[in-house]
Parts: sequence; C-alpha cells; structure tokens
Amino acid sequence: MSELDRLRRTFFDECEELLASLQDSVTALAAPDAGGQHAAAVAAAFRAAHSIKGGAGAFGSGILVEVAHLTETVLDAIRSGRMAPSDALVGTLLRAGDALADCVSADRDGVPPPENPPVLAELRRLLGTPADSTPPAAPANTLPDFPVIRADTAPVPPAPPAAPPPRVWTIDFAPNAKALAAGHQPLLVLRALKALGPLQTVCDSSHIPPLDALELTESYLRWTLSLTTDIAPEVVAEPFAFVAPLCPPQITANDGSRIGFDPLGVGSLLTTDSPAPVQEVDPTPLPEPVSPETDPPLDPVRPWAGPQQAASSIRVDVERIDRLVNMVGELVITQAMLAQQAQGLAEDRFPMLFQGLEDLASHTRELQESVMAIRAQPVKSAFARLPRLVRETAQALGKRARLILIGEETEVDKSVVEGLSDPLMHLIRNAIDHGIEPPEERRAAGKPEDGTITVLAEHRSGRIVIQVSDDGAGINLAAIKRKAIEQGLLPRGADPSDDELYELMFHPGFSTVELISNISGRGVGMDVVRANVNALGGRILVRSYKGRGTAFALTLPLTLAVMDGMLLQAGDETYVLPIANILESLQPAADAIHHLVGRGPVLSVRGQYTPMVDLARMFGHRSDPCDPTRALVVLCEAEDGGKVALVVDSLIGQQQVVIKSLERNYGHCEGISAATILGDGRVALILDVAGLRLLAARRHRREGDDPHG
Amino acid sequence: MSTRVELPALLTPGDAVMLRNSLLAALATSGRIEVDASAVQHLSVQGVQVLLSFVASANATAHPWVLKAPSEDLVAQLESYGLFPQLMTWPVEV
Amino acid sequence: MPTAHTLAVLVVDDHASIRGLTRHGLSQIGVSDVVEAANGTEALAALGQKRFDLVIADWTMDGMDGLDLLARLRANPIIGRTPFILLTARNDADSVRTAIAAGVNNYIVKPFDVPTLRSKIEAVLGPLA
Repeated sequence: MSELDRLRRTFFDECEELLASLQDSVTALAAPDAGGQHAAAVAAAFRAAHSIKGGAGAFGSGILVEVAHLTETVLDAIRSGRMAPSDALVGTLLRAGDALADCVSADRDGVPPPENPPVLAELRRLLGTPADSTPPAAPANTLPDFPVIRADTAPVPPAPPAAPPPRVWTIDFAPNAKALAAGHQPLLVLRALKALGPLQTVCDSSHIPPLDALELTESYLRWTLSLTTDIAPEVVAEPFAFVAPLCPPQITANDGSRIGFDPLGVGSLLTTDSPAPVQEVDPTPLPEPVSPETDPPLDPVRPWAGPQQAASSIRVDVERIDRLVNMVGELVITQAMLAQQAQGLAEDRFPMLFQGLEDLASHTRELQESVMAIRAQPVKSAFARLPRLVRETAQALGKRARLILIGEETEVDKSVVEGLSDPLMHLIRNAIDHGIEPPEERRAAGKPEDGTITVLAEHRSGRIVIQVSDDGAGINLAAIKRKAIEQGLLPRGADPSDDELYELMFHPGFSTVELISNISGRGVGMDVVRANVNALGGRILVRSYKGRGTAFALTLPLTLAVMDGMLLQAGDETYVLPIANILESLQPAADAIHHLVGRGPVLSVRGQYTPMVDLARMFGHRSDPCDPTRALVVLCEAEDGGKVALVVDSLIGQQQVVIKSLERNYGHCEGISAATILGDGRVALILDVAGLRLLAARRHRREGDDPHG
Repeated sequence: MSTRVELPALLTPGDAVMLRNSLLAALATSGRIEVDASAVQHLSVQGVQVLLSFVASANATAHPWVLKAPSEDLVAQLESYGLFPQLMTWPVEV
Repeated sequence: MPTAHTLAVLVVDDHASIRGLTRHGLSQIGVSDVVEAANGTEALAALGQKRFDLVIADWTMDGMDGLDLLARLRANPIIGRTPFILLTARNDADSVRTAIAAGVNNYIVKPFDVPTLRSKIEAVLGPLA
C-alpha cells in the first residue's frame, strides 16, 4: 500500500468518527437546551463537518466536499445565531449527515457517489443560495497579500526512483579536558556534522556543577547525536578527525555499521562498512599520563530517545489485533497442553519446570487480558443511533417516547459492540410499536403521555447485561397463547408457564397479527434477534408486567474469544462449564433428592428446590441413571437467575478455554453454547446452563412422571 | 535593585573565566540578575558551561534572574549545542 | 536562500490524514525534518524541544485552536518570530482577514496541492534551494 493509500484509509477511518460525532451533536440539538449544551453541540457538529470537508478535497469526491461545505455553512449560521435549530432544521441536518455517510462510503469503496442528493437542495434553500452555487471562495482581489488559491487536487508527481535508504548514525561524543585544552571546540564538529544531513543534537548537561565548583578547564557536557545521511562513513567520521585521538566518539549506524578510530595514526581512520565482520580497532585513546580525577564523569550511554513526537494513541487495523487475539488463543491452548503433560510428573523432582509452567500460565493470562483490553470499547457506539431511531419511530407511529441511556461507557469487546447494534434497534422499534401505548390510552391509564424507553448497560459477574425496557402495556400472554395454539405451536388445552410463553415469542414460526406492523414487522422477527444474540454467545430474557411495561435483558460475554471454564466428566465425555455459572459442588445425601411429578428429580439445598439434570443421560452417553449420592452435583445459576443442578461423574479442573463457535458450522444446539479444544487436542462442548434448564423442563414434561428424568 | 551582567560579543575560553567571576559576584547579591545577551556573536564551549553552571546555581538557590534580549547568534548556537530545550526553560525578556 | 533539506517544520493538525498529507507534500518539496503534533498542547511541547523554521497549523482544533497556538507562539521571546502558516478549510474572506490580523505569515486553504504548498512556503521563507 502506498503512503497516499494509507493516508486515504486514515481519512476514511477518521470520517467514521466524525460522522458519528456529527450525528450525536445534531441529535443533541433535538433535545431541549437545558444548561446550554446546544452551543457545544453546534460547535462540535461544525468541527466535524469542517474536518470532513478539509480532507474530502484530497481524498473524496466533489459531491462530498459540497455536502460537507453546505452542512458546515448551515451549522455556522446556527452557531452565529442567524438560524434557530428547529425540528425541521435538525431533520435536514440529520439527512445531510446521512448523505455525507453515503458519499463517504461511496468514495471509500471507489464507486460513484450519489449524484445531487436531495438534501443538497434543502441545504441550499435554507441558505438561500442558487442551486448551482459552488462553495464561495474569498475573492482574491480583496486580499492582495494572501491570494487564496483553491487548489485543484492535482496528482502528486511521482517520486524520483528510490535511492538506497540513508543510514541513521548514532554518535556518542564526550569531549574531555585534554580535548578542550588542545583548543578543540565541539561547536565546529557539530556544525560540520549538520552540513552532512538532518542532525538531531541532544546535550546531556546534567553533570554541570554549581558555579562555585566549576572547573573551567574541565569538560562536563556529552552529546548524543543522530545523523541521517547516505554519505560514506569516512565522510561522517571526518569532523572528528582531529579530536578523535583524544576522545574517540562511538559511531554506529542502524544497519550495524560502525566507525572505529585508529589510535596510532592521528587523524587516520579505519572504517568498517558492513554489519557482518566488525574489524573495529580498540578505540582506547593514546596512553597518556592523565590522572583519573581529571577525567569527566561518564555515565552509561543513554539510548537516543528518538524524535520528539508525542503520540497518545495509534490507529491499528482490526485485522492485526484479531491475528493477535487468535495467536493468544492458540497460546492458551498450548499452555493448557503443557500443564496437562506435566501433571504426571513429580513436582518435587522438577521444581523449576513447575515454577516455569506457573509463570507461563500467569503471563498467558495477563497477555490475554491485555489483548482483550485493546479490543474493548464502550457500548456507546452501539447506542449512538438509538435517540434518532426512537424519535423517528415514535413520530411515524403517532406515539410519544423518550429514551434514557444508562451506562454508555461500559466497555466490552469490539465484536460484541458491533453485534449489538441490530438486536438493539429491533428491540427499540418493538418497544415503541408494541410496548408504548398511544398517548390517549396512556392518559386514560393515568400514565404520562410520553412513554419511557430505558437502555441500560452494565457489567454483571463477568458478563455484560444490556436491558431494554419500556413502561408500556406489557406483553399480552393470553394473546400469545391463543396464537400459538392457532398456529399449532402449542397443543390445545396446554398449560404453559409464563416462561414458556415468552419463549414462544422467539419461535421462528410464531407471529401474531398484533405483532406485525410496518415498523417492527419488517420481516425480522424476534427469532432473528435471538439468533443474533446467541451468535454472540449471549442470551435474551423477557420480563413483562401487565400495564407496567416489558424488559428484555441481553446478557453477553465480555469477549468472544476466551473464558474460564470448569472441566467436567460425564460418562466418557468431557464438558466445559463456564465458571461464572457455578455456585457450588456437592455430594447430596439421599434425602435431599425428591421426585416431583412432571418436573423430574429436584435437589433440595437449604430449603430451595432445584431441578436436577443428569448430564450423561441427557446427552445420551449413558442410559442408566447415575446415582447422585455417589456422583457429584454441580449447582449452577444461569444468567436469568434460574438454577439447575448438574449430575456429573467428576470435576477435572479449572482451565481457560478458547471458544470456538459451533453455530457458525452446525447451527444452534440447545444446551450447548460452543466448543473448545482441550490441552490433549480433544474437542469438548461448552455447556449453556439456561439452555440445559429449558431442555430438561421440556423433557420431563414429555416423559411425564418418569421418576428419573 | 538588580545586577546587570553583560555577555561579551565573543565568549572565548579566556573570557569564560571573567564571566564566571562576574556571575559569582552577582549571585552573592540579593537582587535580580539581568544577563544581557544582546551582543553575543560566538559562544565557546567553556562559555556555555559557565552559563549552564550559573543557571544551575541560580535555580538551586531560587535566585531571581533573567536572560535579556538574547541575540540570534546566541539562540542559534545554543541550538547547535543541543541546548535549545534548556534555553526554552530559562526566563527571557526581550 | 533556505535549503529545503535543512528546514525543520512543525505540522499541527488534529487529523492524522491531514498531517500525513502535509508531511507527504513537504517530502515532495525536499523537506524531511517534519515533526507532527495532534493539538496545540503537543505543538507547544514540540516547540520547547527544538527550533523550527516553520509551523504549519490547522485552525479548527479541539481545545487550543490554531490562532490560540499562534498567540502563544508569538508571546515567546525566543521563538516568537517563527513563521506560521495557517492550514484551514475556511476560505471566506472574513476568515482570511481574521487570520491575517492574528499575525499568520500565510494561509493555505484545504485541499491543497504540492505546488501551492511550495509557493506558500517560499512566500514566507524565500525561494527554496
């Protein structure tokens, strides 16, 4: 990729951020101006449009420049009070933002941008300019001293054929008292070097004593020089020709070349040009009767600090980070494999090996956390489009709704943030369409006319929870049941629990006339929302209260790559249970196990009954039921708070596992969230506790009162 | 009351001795020291060391001082010596 | 006559693409000693470390904008006269007048091409060898 291509890419990356900032700011204008945030929003929007325009001339199309220019001009008019931010104006600005985004993506992909987008006319009408006006340039004749040139983006002339890259010479130069006594002046050396090429001069003056202790014949200064030049080494050494016998400088180049000085022939040089055989003559000065105390104090050579370029952040291709994430994933597997191989060894015989393995484990974990932190992003960007969505959807449906966002700064892996956007938008549309009642209905119910939609993000026990709630009418479970029976999803006369009815909403075949409208029924049902969330390793839960509202909670892993798991043995198979789900493990007494009709066996722990699932039997590895009083029971809690007691043969141990999606290759398997590769190379399935619970409940109902479940 | 020390046009190794004495005497007073640098054309390394040493002493004792009207040659030569960052931290008056 | 390859130029812009484009343009003219700063604060830090022959700065930046930076630069007794070229997408006459009144040495309107960059620099520093 050429340098200009890279710059072009940087520009389009910046545009993404600028467009988001523009939209945020314009959206903020739609809210009432409490505390004067309008002024800040207008300024921020202006800067964003202005910056897009600045780079657009070089990297983008004329149409992008023009839309950016007109948008900027309108924002400038608002800023200076010549226009007031009405709803119509905000609408135009949002459409201008969309047009800019369209142009940016067209320019980025190298396809022709939309010709004359309709918003151009709108902007021109606002500004009262004729349709064919171009961005007004300052008339040159009014500005004799500064002729303003609206430069055309002429292609940059091709660079001359590349010469061999210049070397960067690092020179450590510390004159001593002898050199000063002989009349040498470092300034002459420094000036001579400067004539050879760009020179970076760093002077270490830290050894200068206070004035009353200063010895005038002494030399206290030391220089570290960096010279970039393609000139021959002998020429680089020349300025030192006379001073070198007294205080030879250390000269090395970035390609490994060094320049050494012959201590015998004053002024004669011995250079070696290649990095390989270093024929450097010992650079000790002529043996002279110099008393040690007159020698200047020398500290170890400090590495040159490099050019002063403060940078607080760098932009990195996501692909590169992903590669790093994958490599760390592989490293986690290798580390687990080594740990497993070492298990058979006697720890007291190989203490160093075990220490090393322990260190490897902790370093691997730190490395992995650091890599994940690079990808972490506030969920804010997934929330960015929501205010506008709420406004437009409510408007289209004749409803009134306000949006409250909480926890926008909550950080989660970039891929999770990206995957959140679609489900969130669907849930919001759904909430306005089906949740929030029309204003008159709300008034009649004694509620404020404005419905409230709250989107909350927070970290909860190693996962992120995103909750979308509304204060609307709540889900009509009776209607769901009726429709489900009509559509044959439920047998007539069935008595499903509330949970199971909620569950039906996510069924691919399920739809009710009440649930379809032009807004949320765009062919994307709740089943797609759930599939999206499942693909992220997440789960979606519903709670609804009649007349008071509905809440959808998405719980998602913080990262899609690695998690802490407990390895379980069930029959001949090894399973991985996420540590986050484990409450405790126990060996229950026989009287703690009860059999309830239609619910299978349950475990009583401290007065609470928890359904039991025999893992090996559930997945068909074993037909005989396992005796829980002899085996082990792991008490788990799903993200929704539901509990289940897993009956397993034994616990193998705790381990970090790399998550490999099954859904991408096989589709969704109930009770299983993903797979992983163990240290010995075998594949193990990762359990999905909430899924197991539902699976068990269904099976018990089907098997009727089978006492073993 | 301030003490004024004028830097010579050619700050040679020999002049560095006299400069050191003048600056030591100035540091012995309590007033502000004005180091007039308007005439400087050449700075020997010995002169530079005296200047740096004076700055170190003044800073160590919080003695008020100012570099008056530094000449272009002084600035350019301090830059060549690699002492520009240090110069930028000194109190300067035009 | 200044020689391009001995010039040290500070480029200040809050967008990496514009900084890179300016650096690229400067390299076409033969200027290789270029330091980049992403905002006014970074620019002041850079100005305290090294003497620059020229500052090319964006006008619109968060925090300290280009003209604020210019005022801070002009107030410094050592480097106050460093030539300063404003690089901006504002091309209306009022903006140009404001910039001149603030003491910029020249004014480049984005987008710019290499000949423009060269002519503006030469207008400030004299013909480049």
